[in-house]
Amino acid sequence: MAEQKKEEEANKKKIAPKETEEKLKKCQKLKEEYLAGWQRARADFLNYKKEEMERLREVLEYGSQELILKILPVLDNLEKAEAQVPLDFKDNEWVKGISQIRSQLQDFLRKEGVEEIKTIGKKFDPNFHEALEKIEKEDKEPGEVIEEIQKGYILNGRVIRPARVKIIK
Amino acid sequence: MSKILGIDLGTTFSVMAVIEAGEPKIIENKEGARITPSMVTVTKNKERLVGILARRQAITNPENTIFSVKRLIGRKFSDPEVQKDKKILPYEIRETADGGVEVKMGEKFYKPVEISAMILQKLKQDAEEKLGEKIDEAIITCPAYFDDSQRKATKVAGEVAGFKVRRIINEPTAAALAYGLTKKRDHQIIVYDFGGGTFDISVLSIGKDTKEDTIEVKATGGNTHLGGDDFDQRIMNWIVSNFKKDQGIDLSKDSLALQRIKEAGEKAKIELSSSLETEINLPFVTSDAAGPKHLLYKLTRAHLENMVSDYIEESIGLLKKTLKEANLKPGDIEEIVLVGGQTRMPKIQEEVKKFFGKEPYKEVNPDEVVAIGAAVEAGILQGEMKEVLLLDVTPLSLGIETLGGVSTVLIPKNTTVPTSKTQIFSTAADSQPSVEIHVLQGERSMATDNKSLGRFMLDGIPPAPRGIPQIEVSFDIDTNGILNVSAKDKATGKSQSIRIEGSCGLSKEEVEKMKKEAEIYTAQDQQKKELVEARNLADNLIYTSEKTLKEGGDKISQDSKKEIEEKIADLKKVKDSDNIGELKSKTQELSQAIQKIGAEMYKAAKGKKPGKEKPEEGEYKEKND
Repeated sequence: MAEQKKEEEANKKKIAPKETEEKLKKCQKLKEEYLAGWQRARADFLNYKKEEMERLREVLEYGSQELILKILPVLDNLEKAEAQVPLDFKDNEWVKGISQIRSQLQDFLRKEGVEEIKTIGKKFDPNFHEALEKIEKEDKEPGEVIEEIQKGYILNGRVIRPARVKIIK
Repeated sequence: MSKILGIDLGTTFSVMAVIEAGEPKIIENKEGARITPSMVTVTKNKERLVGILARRQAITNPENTIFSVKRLIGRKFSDPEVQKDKKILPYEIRETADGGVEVKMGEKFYKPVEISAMILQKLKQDAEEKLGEKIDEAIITCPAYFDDSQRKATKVAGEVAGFKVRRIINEPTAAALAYGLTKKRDHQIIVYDFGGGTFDISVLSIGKDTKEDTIEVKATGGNTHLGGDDFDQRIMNWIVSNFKKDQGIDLSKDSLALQRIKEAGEKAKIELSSSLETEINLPFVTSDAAGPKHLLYKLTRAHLENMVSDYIEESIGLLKKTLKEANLKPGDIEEIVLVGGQTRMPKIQEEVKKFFGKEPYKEVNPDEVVAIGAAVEAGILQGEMKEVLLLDVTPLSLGIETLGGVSTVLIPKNTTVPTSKTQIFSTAADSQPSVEIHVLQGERSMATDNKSLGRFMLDGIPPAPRGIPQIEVSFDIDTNGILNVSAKDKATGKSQSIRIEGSCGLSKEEVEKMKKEAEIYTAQDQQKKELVEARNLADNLIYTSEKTLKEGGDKISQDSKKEIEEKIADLKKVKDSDNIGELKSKTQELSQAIQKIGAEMYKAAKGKKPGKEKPEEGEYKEKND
């Protein structure tokens, strides 16, 4: 038994350098892998930071978008109400007051960077318009916007709501 | 190494995501939206539009606007599904020479593969623009029931779009991947996918030796023509019929009014997922000879649930059927994943939970979870999500006990490890020779309610008034969750430390239990903490007041001195009571009295510079980081 053990140990010693070499190789490989992973993580982090900054800028620029989108239907309805004021009420002071409230709201939106999209007379452009209906009309160019159903808006250069329009067939 | 794009190529919408810094992230399209309509058109000017732009002109150009092409891809013309869809879809569909399908857009006929490729190409371009790098590879998802021909067609679409398609994976598998459920073995998962236009059920089975990419789909079921849109339609019908009843006007013929009703209905549906009641408010919805008409209805969650109960019942029935086909009982299912926007509806979540007796996974945005899962798969392929880089988080907060038995958190729960944090503390009494650092774990406000992980003493602090010594306490957790806590007296440099193993090693149940307790006792704990803080404040004020009297007593009038002494005595009396109101008011009184003295002292010391000493704000307080 004892001799066998000795022999084993001797064998171990003999092959030790090779084993060590293999181990070293393995370690080196692992080291490279870990270093690469670490570098990648660092790089990812730095990139992430840059992107976060970019995102923050966007949030600042478009952060009010959600809120504005929720306010717009109120303005739509005010405009609808105004458009349907009966003729004999047009000069009513009370009605004028309501119009003034509407323009106050529009003024607020303008100051927040919200712009109205131009529609009537323009060529239909899906970048800005959403077509709801096609109408036949002889003296007009096909594809021209003939009626605005709902106003569209741009916030800091980005369409936050396309204008809903009727176009010429 | 360039990124691999994960794409959920959906019937109505498509979503894309990539792995960034080891985490999946949705990529917005050029228009700034997280989802892109799966729609393509060719305009009169031969201009090709994809996504939202195609949708904006769809109504006026229905015969040239292709949507839902996923219903056709890889199918034969004779397929009953195709025949069914042919009746519904507004564009022309015809048979190719080899029995396949073609759709007409503009003057030309296209194969569904080509249409899908156009959608994928847009996603590719938008992603490249957004990420600022070229993207050549993609993982695309498809329904579990897709056969070989449909999968092949999806792959070809990816290739036509310019991708090297690394893999086509099943949508339910992607959803499971997004939740990290595929790591477990010997496991049955149900994916309940209620989208806008389709309802899919998949039973996934992960065996003992299953590899990630060979997750078996045991059964699929559902209804390819049932979805959230049907719910919207019901709400629309309800509004229209109500209005007809109330006002005698049929709005179903008025396309502009219908448009507004449709939007308002969808909005109401979404709102009712988070609130119990909502208002459908459409002033000037129409007008007749008598003038304008307004529409205003209240809709409750219960009413909506009632309105669509048959759809929900149908989905549960299909669930039963699919399970039966897989030879499984509800109890055999370990995990349930909810996918698709309609699963945000509380009633659906409730019914699914009731059916399985288990809480389904629903935390990831159900519209995005499939794309997220595709990105996770991409991450695995890229090697970014290697085991070694999967970082743990601390399940519970770690901190120390401070004056009055308060638990002060140094590392909050859900902090990614490895991490470390250092904070400076001080003594609570004059000439205090040592401090005890008692390391705690848990979310409760008071030390005794949290788990004690260990404690040690740091002694040999040179005599100094309270609040002056600076004891630097550092927490450091390594990747294995081993916590090292050390305390160092900055004056002497003396330090002590403790090593706590398994600070993260609580079982899931234990962690949940502790979190739940913390939730239950939040209000109570807050009260206790407030009391202790008020007591600390009182204690501190007594200390400074006595000190002021001792040091400057000769500069003030006897009357004032007596007043303060009385107020101090008063405060001392209530200091240890639990009456927080009284404690606060007495503290306030003393504080006001002592401030008056301060003014008196300055007057007496006129000509001299004001002293530097300010009242200390309470001991064991953070002084800096």
